[in-house]
This record gives sequence, structure tokens and C-alpha cells, in this order.
Amino acid sequence: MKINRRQLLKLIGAATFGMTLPEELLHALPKEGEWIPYEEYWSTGICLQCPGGCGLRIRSIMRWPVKLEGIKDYPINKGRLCPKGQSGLQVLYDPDRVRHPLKRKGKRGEGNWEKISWEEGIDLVTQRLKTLRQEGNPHHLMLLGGRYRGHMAELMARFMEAYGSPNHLGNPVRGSEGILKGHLFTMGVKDFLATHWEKVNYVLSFGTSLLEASRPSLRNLWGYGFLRRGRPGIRGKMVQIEPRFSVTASKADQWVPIQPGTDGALALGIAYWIIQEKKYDYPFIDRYTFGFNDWKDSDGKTHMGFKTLVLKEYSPKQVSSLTGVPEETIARIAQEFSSHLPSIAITGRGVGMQTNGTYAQMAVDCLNALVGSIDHPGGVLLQRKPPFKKWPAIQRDGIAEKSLSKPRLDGAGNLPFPFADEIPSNLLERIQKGTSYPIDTLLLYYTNPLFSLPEPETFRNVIERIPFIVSFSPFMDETTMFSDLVLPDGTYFERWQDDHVEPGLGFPMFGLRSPTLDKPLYDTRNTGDVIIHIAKRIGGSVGKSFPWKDFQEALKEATKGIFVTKRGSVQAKDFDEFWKVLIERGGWWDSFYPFGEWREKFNTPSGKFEFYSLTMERALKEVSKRNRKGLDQILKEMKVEARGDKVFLPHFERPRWVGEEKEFPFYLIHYKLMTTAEGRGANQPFLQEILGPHLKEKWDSWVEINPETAQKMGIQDGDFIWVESNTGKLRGKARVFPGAHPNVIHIPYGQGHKAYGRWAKGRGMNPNDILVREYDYLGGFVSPFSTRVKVYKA
Amino acid sequence: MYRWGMVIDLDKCTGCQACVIACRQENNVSFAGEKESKLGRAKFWMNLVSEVKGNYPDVEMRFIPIPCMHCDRPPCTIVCPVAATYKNPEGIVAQVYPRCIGVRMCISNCPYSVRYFNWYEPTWPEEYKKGFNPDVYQRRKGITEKCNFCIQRIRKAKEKAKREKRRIREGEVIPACVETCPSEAIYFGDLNDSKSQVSKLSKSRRAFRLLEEMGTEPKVYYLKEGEWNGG
Repeated sequence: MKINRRQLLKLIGAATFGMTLPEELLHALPKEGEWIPYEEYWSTGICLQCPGGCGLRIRSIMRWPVKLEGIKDYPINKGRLCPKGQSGLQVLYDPDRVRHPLKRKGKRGEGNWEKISWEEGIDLVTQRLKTLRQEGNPHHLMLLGGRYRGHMAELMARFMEAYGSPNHLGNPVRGSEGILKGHLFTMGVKDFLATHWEKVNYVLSFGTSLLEASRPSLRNLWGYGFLRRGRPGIRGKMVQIEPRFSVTASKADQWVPIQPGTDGALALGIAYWIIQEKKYDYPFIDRYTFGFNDWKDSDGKTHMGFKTLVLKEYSPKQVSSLTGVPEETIARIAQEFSSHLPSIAITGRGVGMQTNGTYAQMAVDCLNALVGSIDHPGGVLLQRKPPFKKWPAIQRDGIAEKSLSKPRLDGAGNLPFPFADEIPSNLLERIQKGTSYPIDTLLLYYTNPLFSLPEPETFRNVIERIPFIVSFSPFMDETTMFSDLVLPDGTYFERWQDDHVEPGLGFPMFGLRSPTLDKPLYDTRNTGDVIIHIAKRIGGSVGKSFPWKDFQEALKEATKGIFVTKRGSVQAKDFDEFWKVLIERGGWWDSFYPFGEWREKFNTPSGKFEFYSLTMERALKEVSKRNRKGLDQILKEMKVEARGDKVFLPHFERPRWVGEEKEFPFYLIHYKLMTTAEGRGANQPFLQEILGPHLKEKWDSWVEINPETAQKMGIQDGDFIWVESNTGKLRGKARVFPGAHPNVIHIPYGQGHKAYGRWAKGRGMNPNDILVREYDYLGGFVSPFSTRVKVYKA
Repeated sequence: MYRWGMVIDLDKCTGCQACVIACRQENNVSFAGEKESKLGRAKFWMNLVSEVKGNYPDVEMRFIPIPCMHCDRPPCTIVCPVAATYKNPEGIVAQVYPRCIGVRMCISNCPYSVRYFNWYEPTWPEEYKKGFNPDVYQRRKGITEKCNFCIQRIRKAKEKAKREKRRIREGEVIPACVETCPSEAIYFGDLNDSKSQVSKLSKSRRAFRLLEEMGTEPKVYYLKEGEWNGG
């Protein structure tokens, strides 16, 4: 069915012809008739300023979007938007967008481009990819993806598999892998968990940027308001554990400053008190968990349980000396956490950005288990997925089969990263050591590694060796600047795309992004369409894997799975009607969460919540067998200190830092602001102008330093200083901030772009530039908070 | 007669500034750019003001969103020599842009610093102009502008209510800042209607107004943070 968009929108969006006149003008203008009536209509979309996935109601006047609001009944944002969401039209109307396909003319990175047609651009890629396949080398293709939303992740993975390359680096949660790995080892779930704000009474937050950059942001902001005054007579309590006094810390009832990298120890110290005082949820532990007490395996060997370990090693006294948190505070938090039920312990990127991130997350998960706040009202919930129809099987020919068996170039899945899904930061070392094959072509989708990876210079070394780079970015970001061909996607107002929600509700839901404008503002194309087009042009089994005309058709097929269930917020007689209403509502959801169902069958070897991770034990044994190395040897390579049963239990591993304390006395911890979140907001003047309200900073970045520390070093507020690590240095304005930890230098993340349009370029500094790559090998991710620095006056 | 008022619950406010940007997009408020905004010339009809004090680890940080207070006894209107600013019958302190001649007395007389002067012609990249709200007048260099509780929205709602021969319903008209507030911390409505949420909240034990002692009678109320005690 062909839909005339304008007609459709008029139907659905209460089109009105209105005469309006601002009241203040009544006094100045003689005649009302001088005003031209305008055509107004409302349509829906999904925001993409962060991964939150908020539903948008878009007000358009004479074709052009003029204002964004939230969709009133959209569960994740309930009609509300954050400042980034509100500033979304500055993404659409960004004057520095890539307006048509571009081919590099001058040297790489010079910014000298030639305008080409889409046909020429697609020809260039297709020819190259065809040749690679003819030579039997499809594995020489690498795809680096970032903000995949909805089925784009599957579409791109499908393309790589059908084409025949194992080199798909497509982790949409780069920077938060530690949380996922922790959940995997304790609960067998590779996803974030939702917070049940409606019922929770006590929130224990381990460094979650709840009010700045959490996911899903709007759900959590709403949750905060609801916690405070949503229920008459009940004002929920919140405790924030974090070295820096953040916005979240300022809004919490209690802020607990902590030594960086010791969150896991504190969680275990709290567990100690709860176990010691027998305040844990005995029925939950008895029925739904494994490894709390010592246990015997099938060979009759006794293994240590969580209780024994915690009582032995994590008394408040021991924990206090590790974390710097007073013993009384630990006891009080534990007492409150175990009595103000339902209570919940949550984490954020801070915990997962240390070398001990995975174990720290496991320890926090155990706190939720101790109080039974898993899959329970007021606890953490498992995010259910919508019942999409599966796309037809991927076709693989002989060439694809052969190349897919080649080792990945980034080394993910092999020692020392046996559990990593991808390790882009590791590419340089791997390539320098001499990999078995080169990268010929790199595709970039919604990611900007030359800005967002720690030590971006190392990545520059990697991509300098790649002969052909294609970027699908709508913006001229750092990495796109460095590419050879740009096939620009439109912005999120101009394309068909579904959008999953980040775990926040528990119940299944998805959003549908439909083009707001009848055609894209510029000569851009949906990357989904372009990939399908390229696949078809390559032909053979690759083309056959994409039996759709375009991405919209592929989406329709997937949503048919939901249509047939006849459940949830959108139901219709026939599919065309269903699709139409889906566009009108902006998405689909089924607001029923089956409490208590998940805890009956965790996806772990024991089927229970695992204090003692059998998941990890089995996986490590598998690695040992595959590599013909003993467990101890493997642990040594993965830099895990513990041995024996302790390896599989949440425990505290000392964080590793890069840089000697003597020379580099400070930790460098960057943080996120509400206005920048992922560093993608820097090209929007509205956001630049309200950047850091706590220090009244705008259009710039700054280095936060503790007042006493600053005084000792003779640094005044506003002085320019150098922040130096053993890989580089940054010059920035010092801001003396009492919320800065005495031993930590804090820099907000998001500025310091070397490209990305007129408002972002050449402004402030990017902390990534001086971060040194260190890893949580167990979790398989780079740990950006492991760098030590020194500071001195510039 | 309506009497429009606003209540901002500081216990719910997260300092996110969604209200600030929603206001700018709704009311075609231009950005000032780096140089001018560092000189304090950026226009924020809704402005988030912050305060940080104390020493680590006893630090305090407060955020407070400040729109025009729409005083019942506004000090700004009485000093305008050309009657460009006035309190309308529904209590909104409005600005008639074509009349304003840029004397700026109103700005210096406002104790809340919520009036903004156009030191330059507002600059917009050509592309952004497509996103202008046609309901809001474009200001030029040399005049003062300010929050007007999104008067264009009130007006639309009134026209609709008039056509349907009824009063505006509770919640039917909300300024852009209220509509977007993620934690639902801002309320808007008719203070004359004793059943409206703003009426009730303005009488809460947590309610206070800024610089109340000056006798300006603001119609923006704040609710302070803290435990439940009768509202």
C-alpha cells in the first residue's frame, strides 16, 4: 500500500488550519487579517539524541518541524523530553550536515571532497566488495557499528554474515559492558535490567549517573520524581556512592564519597552486615539462588559459598580501609537497605569502567539477591522483548562459510579476552603483531572511534592502514573526515527505523520512527536501504539474504509477529491498518510484566541466581580446554588475582592503574553531563549554551579540581593548567569545585571535537586523548577510568 | 477571570534543563554564542540557576529554575516610559515588542533578573529558520524580551474554549517548560480556581516564593525539598 504521507498525517495528527495571534501584538497590529493562516500537523517519531528511545510528537508548520514534545502515552517518556530531546531540531537543521554523497579528493583527513551521485557511490562500494568476494577474501571487510537501534543491528549483522566476514564490531553499549558481564555471570542475562520505580522505596546507587546520563534517561528522571513525591506520604530514599559530588549526588538524601575503583568492596561490606545480622531474604535465597552457602559438587568436593567468603574477607573494618567509607556508614546503609524494602542496588558506567568492573557488578547484583529484589515489585526486572517475527534464514555460500571461520582481527573471544564480544581498542596491537590478514575495507555506522575510543590516536594508526573507508554518518565527524567515501544517512526525522527501548520498563515495547518530512531535507538515504541495495547488487547468496525491497518492508515483516499476537497497545483487523496505527501511536507496547516468572528459571547452569557463578566456571573451563592451558595460566593471562573458588564468586580485585603514583598522583575520571551524554550534542548551540549548570560553564570544557588540592598547588579558579598522563597532555581551564575528590581530576566528556561541525570543532578538550588503554580482561572491555595523571600550571 | 500561576517542586526537579531548551525552541529565543554568553548576555526566559557551597565531603549543590515570576505587583511595568510592558487582566506580565524602545529600566528594576535585552540582532543559521514557531513574534535588536507563560498557547486554548462555550479546563493549557519536564516537577494552571493543582500546591506547607519580602507578589511558587508533611 502506498501512503501519501501528508494525507496520512492529516488524518492522524489533528490537522488544523488555525488563526492565531500573539496577545501582545494585538496592541500593535491593526488588522488580524494581515496574518497568513498556516497549516499545522503533528506526527510521531523516536528521539535519537541518546539511546533512551523516547517517543516524539513532532509539530510541523507548512512541512517543517518546529517543535518536539513527547508522546503522551509512550511508556518510556510519558510525554516528556530532556534538554537533548528538546534540542533535536538542531540535529535536523544542522547547517553542517553532509548533504549528498562525497568522495575524497585530497589527502585523508584534509576535508577535500568531491560531490558524487548515489549511483556512483554505491557502485564504488559494490565493486570493491564484489572484488573482495571474488578473491575469496570477504573477511577483509570490517564493519564498525555504534548506535544501532532496533532491527538495524540485525540487518548489519545479517549483511556481514551473508557477505562472509567475522569482523563485525557492533557493540551498541560500548562503555557499559561491565554491567552486562556482571549480569551474565550472576543471572545469565546479557542485557541491562529495568528498575521498577513504581514501588521502590530505597535506591542504593553505585555511581549511577541517574539524573545525568543513565539509560533510559527519561524513565529514570521520571522515576526520581516519582520516588520523591509520586505516592502520598511516601518519600523514597536515595543514596549515591561516588567519588565526585554529581548532580545525582546532590539530589540524593545521602552522598557517600568513595575511593575510585572500590565499589565492589563496598557492596561486599554491605553484604557482610546483612549476612551477619541475618537480615537477608531467606526464602528467596533458599529457593532462587545457588552458592550462597558452601556446597558440594558431583565429585563430593566442597566449594566455598558467598557467605563464607564475605564473612571472611569483607568485614566493615576491612572494607572501610579499602574504600575510605567509615564503618558506621557501611552498617547504616546495610541496615537501611535491608529494612526499607523494596530496595534496589543499581550501578552505572563508573563501576563498569574499572579493571575490576565485572566483579564489582556481580557484587552489586548479589545485594539485590540478598534482599530478594529481583523480578519483584520495586526491584530489578528483566526487559521482555516484543514478539517480532524472525526474518528468513541467512543464506551463506561456500565463500562466506570459509571466511566466517577466520579468526576475528580484534581478538575478541580469544585469550586474554575470551568473553569479549568485540575489542576495537585492541586492534592496533593485534595488527602490529602481524595478523594473518589485512583489513581492506572499513564500514562505519553511527560511531566515531577517533573521538570516542580511549587513546583515539591508536585507532588512527589502525585506520591509516585501511585502504578504503566508507562512512554512513549524517555528520562530518572526526572519523568520517578520515574516510574515503561518505554515503550519508538522514537524521532520525527522515527515515524508517524501529527503535528498541533500553531496559527500563520490563514489559515489551518498541518504537517506530517514520519520516517526518515527505522527503529527506538533503540528498541522503537510509543506510538500511543502502545496505539492502548493496547486498542485492553483490547478488548470489548475499542478495538472497535480503528478500525485501527496502528497509521499511523488512520492518513490516518483523512487526507482523506482533500483529498476529493481537495483544498490546495496537491491535487491528488487517496488517495495513496495524501499520497505520503503529505510525500514529509511534510504537507498540504490552504493559504487562509477569512478576515472579523470571526468577523461576534464570538462564544459568543451575537455573538460579548464582552467587557462585557456574556460568563463569563452565566458560573458563571451556577456554582452558580450547587453549590447552591450565586454569591458573588462563587467569594469569586475564590478570585475575584470585585463585580457587573465589574466582567464581564476587570479590574485590584491586583496580590496576596506568602511571606511577609518584609521578602521576591523580586519578582521571571523566563524567557525563545531561547536555552531552554521549558526546554527540556538541554540534547543537542550544546545548552548548547550557552545558554545565553547576559551574555555570558554557561553550567550553574545564578541569574540576578540589579546592584544597588546588590551593596546595597554587592553582586558582580559572587558571589554565596541563593535565598529563603517560600518553599525552591536555590544556584546560581549571575550575575549583568542592565536589571534586581530593585525589581525582574530573573532566566532563563531550567536548574537544576536531571536526563535527562549526559549533563542536575546536572547543574544549576530549579526555579520551590522554586516557591509556587498560582492560577488564574478564569482562572483555577497555576500562577508561584506569589512568593516572599529573597537573601543573600552564 | 483566569489568574495564571506556576508551581515548581524542587523536590522533584533534577536540574536537567529540559525546560530551558523547550522554552527556547517554543519561543524562538536565539542562542547568544560563545563570546556573548560568557558576557552573560544569553537569553533564558526559563533559566536554571545553581549554587555550590561547602567543602569536600560536605558539599551542597542547589538548582532552581527561574522563569518570570509574573508578579501581581510587578516592579518592571511601572517604570516603562512607553507602556511596552504591562500586567494583563489574567496576571501575565507581557511585553509588547513593537512598542519597546530599549530603555532597559524594566531590566534594572526586576529583582529576579528575568528580563533579557537584545544587544544584537538575533542570529540564526538560515537552516534553523525553518524551525521557527509562527505563533511567536521575532524580536529585533534593541528591545527587551521575557517569559510570558507561553501566551500563544493560552490564547489558542482560550479560542478553542470560546468556540466550545466553556472555560479552559485544568491541564488544557501548559507552557512548553511544563509540558516537557521529565520529572513532572512543574505545574501550571489557574490560581483563581481553588480546585486546580497549582492552587492547592501553592498553599502547601512546603511552598515559598522568591524575595517574598519585597512585596512583589509573585505567581510562581516553589516547593522545597524534604519529607512529607501535609502536601
